[in-house]
Amino acid sequence: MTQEVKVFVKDRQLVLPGQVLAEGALKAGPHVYKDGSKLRSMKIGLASIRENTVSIIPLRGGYFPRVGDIIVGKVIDADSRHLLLDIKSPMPGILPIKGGTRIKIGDTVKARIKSFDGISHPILTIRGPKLGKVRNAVIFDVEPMKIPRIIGRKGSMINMMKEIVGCEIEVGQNGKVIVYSKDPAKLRLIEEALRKIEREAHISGLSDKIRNMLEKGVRNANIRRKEA
Amino acid sequence: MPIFVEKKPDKLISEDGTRIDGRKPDELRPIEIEVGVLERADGSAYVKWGGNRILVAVYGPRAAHPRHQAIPHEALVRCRYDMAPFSPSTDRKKPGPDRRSIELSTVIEEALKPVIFKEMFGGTAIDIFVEVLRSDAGTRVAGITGASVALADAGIPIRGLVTGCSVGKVGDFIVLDPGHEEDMWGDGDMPVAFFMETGEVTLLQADGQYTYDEFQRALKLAYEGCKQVYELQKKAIIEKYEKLKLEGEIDEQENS
Repeated sequence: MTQEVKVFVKDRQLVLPGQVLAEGALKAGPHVYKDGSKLRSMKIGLASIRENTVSIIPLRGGYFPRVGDIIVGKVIDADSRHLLLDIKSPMPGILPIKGGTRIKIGDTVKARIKSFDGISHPILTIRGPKLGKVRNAVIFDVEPMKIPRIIGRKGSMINMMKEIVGCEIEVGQNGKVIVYSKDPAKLRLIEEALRKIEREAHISGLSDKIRNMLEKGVRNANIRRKEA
Repeated sequence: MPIFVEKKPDKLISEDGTRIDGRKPDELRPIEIEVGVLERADGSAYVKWGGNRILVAVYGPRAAHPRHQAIPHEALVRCRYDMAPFSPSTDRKKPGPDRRSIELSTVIEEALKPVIFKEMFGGTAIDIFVEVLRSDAGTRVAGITGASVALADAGIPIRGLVTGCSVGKVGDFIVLDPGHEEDMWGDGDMPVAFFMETGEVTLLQADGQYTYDEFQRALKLAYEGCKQVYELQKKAIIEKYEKLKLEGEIDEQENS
């Protein structure tokens, strides 16, 4: 017997916690829970309906570790075997070190979450490409929920920013953006773009707006540089 | 020695059901809810409910300190209800926790716990702070109403919003949302909180004496009141997040 499937919300509609999104044989995606045959939202967010899965793109929330995430943290404590990293999650991350390391308290480290059981400290690793101590960079804090928007679909947004501004940018899933540049004009421009994405994360056509903004900014910055 | 002495009014309610503040028996006081008023809290709300002014801040999930209080398999939900020394209409309240505010902290915590997905955040703590800046009867239900909005604003996964509302007994009348005088000299006060999406009760207290019939009527009236408050809660959240959307659109026009 096939169950009747009813969907009560439109794609990208603003929904509230507890709101019934759909009824029937559908899969509950992220931030959606099942209440009998009803699918309800857990958070304030935008509904997203893909094939037979209903999920929510949350608009608010902090970072909670997931295995495989690339994160950026600051070393807050160290002993002979471990470094303790503040990764903006409820519990600090632990980075085990074998032998010596040059990483000191206060350093910023880009790492991957190797294992996490949801209760104790997440275990980090710096083995892998582009992981380890972050040098010659400026780090911006953003809302962790807005990171997917900063990356864009298949990295479209971040690649566009890199291309237009002309410097290397990396993101940590815990709401950190690393910008490898020392040019204040570039940094200012990128920060402006990040804040705009944060503010307007749920608006469609954001890529084009950011592109316009950055191109305009690059032109203006060039003028300023000539004057100086 | 109290500085201000309040006098009991001659009549709290007239025969035709007009209350001392001019409301009908099933009428709420004016309510306004504002979401996201505190920059540094994870989620916040400001509730104006009649003369009540209540500020709610929510933090978490964050590391539970002291560590021995942390529960391995679920988040620790803590609530602190506090009245400002200048909040009562009569005397100054002695600052700090007392018997009453400890009870209300627990009661608010218990009313909100059932809707929070605690099991997702083992070993962490979710802190709810309810600060009463001005009190005017029904602060616990106003606190619950604001706190559930603040929880949603913090992005903490919840089953839905919890809505609180009081009912009272004045003479033979069952009245919705008793005001200060009705709370002081009325015959009963019954704060109720519902998880509105399913109609489940998360808080039910009562003082005064009710017959079975009166209790049934009171609970029903409380549900009707909560329905109205629930709409206001939803409106407050939508207003904030739709406003963000609007700002973006205005910006778009400027660029073109």
